[in-house]
Amino acid sequence: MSKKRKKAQLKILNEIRDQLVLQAERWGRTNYYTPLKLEELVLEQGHKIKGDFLAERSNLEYEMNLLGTDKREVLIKIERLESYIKKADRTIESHERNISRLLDKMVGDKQAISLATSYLKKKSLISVMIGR
Amino acid sequence: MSMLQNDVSTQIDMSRGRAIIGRLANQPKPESEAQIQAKVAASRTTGLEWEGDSIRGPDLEDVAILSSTLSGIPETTSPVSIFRALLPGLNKEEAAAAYIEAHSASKSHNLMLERFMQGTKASALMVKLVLSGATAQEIDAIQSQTRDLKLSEIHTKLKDDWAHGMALNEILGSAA
Repeated sequence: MSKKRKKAQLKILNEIRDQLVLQAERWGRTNYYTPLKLEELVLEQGHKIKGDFLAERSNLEYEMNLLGTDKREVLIKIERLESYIKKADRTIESHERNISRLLDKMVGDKQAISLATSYLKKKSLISVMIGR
Repeated sequence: MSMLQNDVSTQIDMSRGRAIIGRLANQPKPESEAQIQAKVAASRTTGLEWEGDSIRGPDLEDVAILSSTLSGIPETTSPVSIFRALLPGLNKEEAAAAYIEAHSASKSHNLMLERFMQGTKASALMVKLVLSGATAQEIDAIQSQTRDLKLSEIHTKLKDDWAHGMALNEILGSAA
């Protein structure tokens, strides 16, 4: 796929997203489709596509072993699928990183929060003096 | 001694024979051509389409059409004036159906369509619905049902069209 075509497709996809999110807001679902939620949706679909690729690979292997069809063609397809699966893994990883980054942003200052939680967890100590 | 050896060798032969018979029994029977074809057809369920040696990318033209249909624009439009919609009989079901359509369109992403539908047509059809005997609770129920339906539609479209397209575009777009 050429860079130009990819850019055009991304533009269309962004337009579709904007329209759908705007419609959801007009129906009263405001602040639901946050960047985090949208990232989660893409990640979910990434996992689904990877599953489809794996299923397709096993189908091709099954077909090749069972029917003995044009092995060269099937092997080329399997090789191609391997590269797609690797790319899917990289895409999933990048979306997971994006999600963790967004979550970190929401949490804010990590040090201040860990300090506050340590204060909350700390139990009050009672010193008992026993007279001699 | 030789008798004992003979006994042992016959025992071994028998156990081997049993093992071979067991293996033969466990072996799958050769499948017929029809069975093989059925299995292959059943295995093709991933929905991936090959274009030569590569998988076909997202079909974005279709996605764009689907998105615009959600805004409530019918494929074939026939201009109907508000008065013509109001005049013929007061059928409650018909009025409700027309109101649902107008109410859905009133939340369009298209600003002009939204304003027109909300300001005139949906309000007029609501009046018609009230005149045909619908109570406030019934109108509320219609509105909430339409809202739930449309929100689930939007979510499905975002998930299946947008997110799927994005993920597929990222994977197939730069795969080596």
